Amino acid sequence: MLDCLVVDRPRKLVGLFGEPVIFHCHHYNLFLQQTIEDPDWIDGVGILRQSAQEIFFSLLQGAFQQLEVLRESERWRLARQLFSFLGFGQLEGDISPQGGELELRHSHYAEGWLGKYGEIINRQKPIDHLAVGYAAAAFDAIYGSLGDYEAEETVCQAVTRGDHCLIRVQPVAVRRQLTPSPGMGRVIDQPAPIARAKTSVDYEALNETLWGLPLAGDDDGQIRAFNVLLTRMPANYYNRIQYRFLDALRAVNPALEAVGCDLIRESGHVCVFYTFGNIMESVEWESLVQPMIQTDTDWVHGGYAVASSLGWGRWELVEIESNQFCRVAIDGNYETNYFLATYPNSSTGACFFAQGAVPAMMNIVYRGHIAQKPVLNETLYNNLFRRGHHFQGREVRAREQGDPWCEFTATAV
Amino acid sequence: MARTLESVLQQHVAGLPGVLAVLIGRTTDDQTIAEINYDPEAVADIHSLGAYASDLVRTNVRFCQLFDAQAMADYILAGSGRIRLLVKAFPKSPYFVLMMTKVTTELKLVIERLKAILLDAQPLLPDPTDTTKSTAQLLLDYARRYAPDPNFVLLRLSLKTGLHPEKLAKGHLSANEVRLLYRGVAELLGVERLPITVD
Repeated sequence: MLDCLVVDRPRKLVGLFGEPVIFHCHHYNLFLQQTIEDPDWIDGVGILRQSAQEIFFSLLQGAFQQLEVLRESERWRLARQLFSFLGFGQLEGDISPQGGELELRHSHYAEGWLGKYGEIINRQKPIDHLAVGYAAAAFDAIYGSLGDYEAEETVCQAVTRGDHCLIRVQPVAVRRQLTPSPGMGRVIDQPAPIARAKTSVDYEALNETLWGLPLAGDDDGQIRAFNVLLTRMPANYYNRIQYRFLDALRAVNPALEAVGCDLIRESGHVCVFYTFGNIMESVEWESLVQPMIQTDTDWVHGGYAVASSLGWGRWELVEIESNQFCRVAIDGNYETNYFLATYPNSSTGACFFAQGAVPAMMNIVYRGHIAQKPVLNETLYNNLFRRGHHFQGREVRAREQGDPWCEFTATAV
Repeated sequence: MARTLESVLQQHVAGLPGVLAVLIGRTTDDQTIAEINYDPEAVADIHSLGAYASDLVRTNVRFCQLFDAQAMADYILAGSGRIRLLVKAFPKSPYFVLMMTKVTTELKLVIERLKAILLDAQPLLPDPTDTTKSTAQLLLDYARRYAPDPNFVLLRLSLKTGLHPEKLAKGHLSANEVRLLYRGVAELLGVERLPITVD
């Protein structure tokens, strides 16, 4: 499956069967999903399931076409392989046009949740909305068209604390009108002439090395790397769930849309803090990045060199003042590629993940003192906010508002 | 000069090695009403310490009521391999005194100092009904102590309840809104009931 990845070097995007794919960790996945599940006065679970069904239908259809897989049994085998390759776990079971009951083992969301929260909370509701949408999408792509099937999680490992989940799939009486993925979206024509701040970190050399790493689901269908659980997610799943969620908040209770935005930003912040914190403490960082580092600001550059290897687009640190301020440009951010293909424009900056990620990179370097290899746990993270003086971010230029690229600042408060 | 709770704490802790913090707290609203923080680096948030101790005292009172109703609640010992927490409730009162020390501090000495504080502070304790916290604030504080991602609890509860965070933070909620908040906090923690009474 690694052979099927297409790296768009100038734009620093990664495609798989026509869909942009990006890496994110379980901290991000869980916080973002939790945010969307929280308000029961909108159908958050419906947003998560439906978006998964739509985006994975496009991915699977692209895979079947590109690899010329015609037989139903082979399509199902490929769908299961892809599910594991992306880091979601293992999906097993016999299927037919009438539906089927699927067993999900080593679920990314369920095991990630149990690892992060299981010692302090008893979960009462199923968590595998992505897998539910994926299962329905697989049946749609194998036997019919988008919207022909629906799925339900009947047993969830995060609730039972057992060793598997069960997902039941069945055809619907009337096909639901669903919207396929916009694919790569509105990508930039060519890279903009953005000047990187002075550094000894070689972004492009790191990009090449990291693009070559064989990061794929293991025998359990999990991607364990840098002390987190990773997924190689179609970017448009994240995009669709976050923007639909905000659309739903705005429609029902517009006063709380800003709260939704804040929490999505936080999902970006927690993601970068843990994932990049762990990356910066890894042996890979020591061997690949550390030799290039000469100053404290090079730590931040190193972070962005890695970030621009994850399929997120071309991230450039254009200005940095040690321990005080930074300005980051993103040329062709995955959020805007989707946004501009889906919405006419935006009245405000809409790259919510990046708005949280940029201050987080400064926080992990200057407030988490990552060079001293602290223990990256909840205490360190919570103290970051409790003690104040952390960095806050702002989107100051936005492609979704007509600027040629997006820019973000992080300022010490 | 008139004696205060702080001066009582100061007097009886003086000269005891390894003390990190001492405080007098109240279980009815988890407030810390007198405190001395000897090591702000180790005890970053002394009010949280008081609130967690308040939970310990409540749990111990409940335990004593269930299993040994005739006897008074005794010392509560908690802590880690490096720090120790010793808590003792004032008799028939929602107030308690807490001392946090290094484990190297001799326990017998700590108990002696706590006994002296209990005696001398008793007449200085304020009226326990003199509390300004609403039920909504108690619920929020509880969620911040026990829910994951405590810095974002207010925002999550705002989405769960449909109430604006500023309104939630002020704590002036209608009875129905308090019930919504109660349900939201219980859901965050994955429990059916909370140890806070709602009308």
